[in-house]
Amino acid sequence: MSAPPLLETRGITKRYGHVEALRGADFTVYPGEVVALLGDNGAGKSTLVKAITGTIQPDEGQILFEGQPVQMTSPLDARTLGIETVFQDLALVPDMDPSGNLFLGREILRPGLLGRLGMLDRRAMHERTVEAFTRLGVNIQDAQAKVIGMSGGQRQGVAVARAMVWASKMVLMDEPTAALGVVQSRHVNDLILRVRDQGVAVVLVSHNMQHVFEVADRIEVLRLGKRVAARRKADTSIEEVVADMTGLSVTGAA
Amino acid sequence: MTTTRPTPPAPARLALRRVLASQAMLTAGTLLVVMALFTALFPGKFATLYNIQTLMVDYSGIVLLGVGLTFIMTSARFDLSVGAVLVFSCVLGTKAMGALGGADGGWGAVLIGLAVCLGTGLLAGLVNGFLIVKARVPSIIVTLGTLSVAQGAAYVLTGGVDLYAVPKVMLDHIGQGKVLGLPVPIVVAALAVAIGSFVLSQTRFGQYTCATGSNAEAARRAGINIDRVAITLYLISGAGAGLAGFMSLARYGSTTLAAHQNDNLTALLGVVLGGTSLFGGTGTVVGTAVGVFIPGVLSNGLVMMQVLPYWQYIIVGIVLIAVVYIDLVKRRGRTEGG
Ligand SMILES: Nc1ncnc2c1ncn2[C@@H]1O[C@H](COP(=O)(O)OP(=O)(O)O)[C@@H](O)[C@H]1O
Ligand SMILES: [Mg+2]
Repeated sequence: MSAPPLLETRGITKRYGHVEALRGADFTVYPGEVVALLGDNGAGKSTLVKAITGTIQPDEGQILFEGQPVQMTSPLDARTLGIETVFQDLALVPDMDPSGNLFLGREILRPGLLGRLGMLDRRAMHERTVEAFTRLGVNIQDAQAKVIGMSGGQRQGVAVARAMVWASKMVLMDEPTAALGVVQSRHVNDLILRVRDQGVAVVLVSHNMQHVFEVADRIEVLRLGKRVAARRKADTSIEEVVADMTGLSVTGAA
Repeated sequence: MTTTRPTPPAPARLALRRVLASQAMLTAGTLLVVMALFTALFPGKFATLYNIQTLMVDYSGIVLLGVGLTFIMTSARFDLSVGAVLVFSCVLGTKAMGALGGADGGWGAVLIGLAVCLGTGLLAGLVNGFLIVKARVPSIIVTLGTLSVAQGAAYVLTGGVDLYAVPKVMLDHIGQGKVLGLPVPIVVAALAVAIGSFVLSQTRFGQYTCATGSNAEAARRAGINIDRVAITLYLISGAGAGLAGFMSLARYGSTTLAAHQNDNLTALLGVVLGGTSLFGGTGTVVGTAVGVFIPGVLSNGLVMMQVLPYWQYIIVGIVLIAVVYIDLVKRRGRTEGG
């Protein structure tokens, strides 16, 4: 890639007591690409996603965004930079409806005095949510029902839509299709390509090799908290990537 | 996420259906049934304007505590200290007004008394909030501790003897006063309910209160300063306790050291009866205002039935556990079903 990276992490470490979730992890995202972050269970993928989005503070290491070192001290910092995340646990508020979740932390207030008193403009938020769901093809029958009563697929739809709506530079998706069926997973693939085409870079964490090889431009592999491979999809194969993930040779893995 | 979209029902109709099916409606229904029962049992005695109005004045202070508690419990926390903070603010308020002329004090003394009562409540709220957020001690323990401290301080400062140094103007015009034909304590409680309801259900701060109670980590990841929200919530409930203390002084003219022991629990029961989940995430201030009157009407009716009023404590305790149990079962059903 000739363009300078959009985001780069260098030597990120994160310890939880005796567990070293990340041991000097490097990671690179180029502008407008879909990069898959792969690794076995416990390799540190979710921890890296959280470090990049300011959700946790790494013990060591550096994060560069558009070439500049950045301090991600809170989730707000990532947001300000145009970075949005679909967390593995979705991070939805179950007692709120989809529009409450979509606008959480950036509510629309009423114009005028009522707005200055902090009064929400629920109608505007609801309308924009329905509009976004229609545009993104997220099927929620009752956009005013609480998330707690929704199926896993619908919840994932809400979380994906939220990230897609707000991201201007980069979206990180931690296993966004884990709770989805075949048709819905394909739909998420379409969404990923659509935001990519708008110039937003996508980081995709997934266990589904098929899924990854359909949409990713590049693949980076974590093993035991470290990057062990960075490959262009065109130059690699599922077998090779699985070998990277497991640390076994290609013949051994097969 | 398929693209077939069945036409959704109109939002207005859905909203109406939700209101009708809500816990607050159920509570209001229960209250009406109980009141109808006592009306039938004691014709010309229970359902008199005088009796109902006295009942509402009696419970207006508990409504004030309940408004604050609704916020706290919507955020999935507790405040067991409000009853004791109420009494403590009575003591400090009386001391201040006593120094400013006592029974002969003017409106200036009354205003200072109000400021002292509210300030005491806010300070207690700040201490509660700070310990819960920064020291990360569970709210039930922190507020149990401040309950004990506030109660002890009230007794230490008075030697256990009630003080009576409330300006007469305050007794006459606030405790016994009326505006638009309504007793002032009822008006104050109604205003608190209206403001509290607006803030919790219509504003961004209310949204953050629900979010922190429902999934604090999700709220944090959405960029919400959840610590600041929590401290503000304890300031609100502290202010409610301080205001309730002031109103208690206006009504009884005394620090009523021993009179509020069950207020905290009664308010808590009102909150839960009103439809606020003990597990956080949803709450309604109007529901609380209705819920508080269920124990109120019950104890009023018990007195008429010439049952010892102490039975109400037994009933309050049992109903509290039962209501929370039902809430728990409902929650379990929802999460397992979803
Ligand atoms: N909050 C935490 N506390 C303790 N250990 C954790 C925590 N988060 C992650 N870990 C540990 O760090 C390692 C990496 O976890 P994670 O990043 O979730 O891996 P992945 O997403 O690749 O499956 C695992 O061993 C996991 O148990
Ligand atoms: Mg993970």
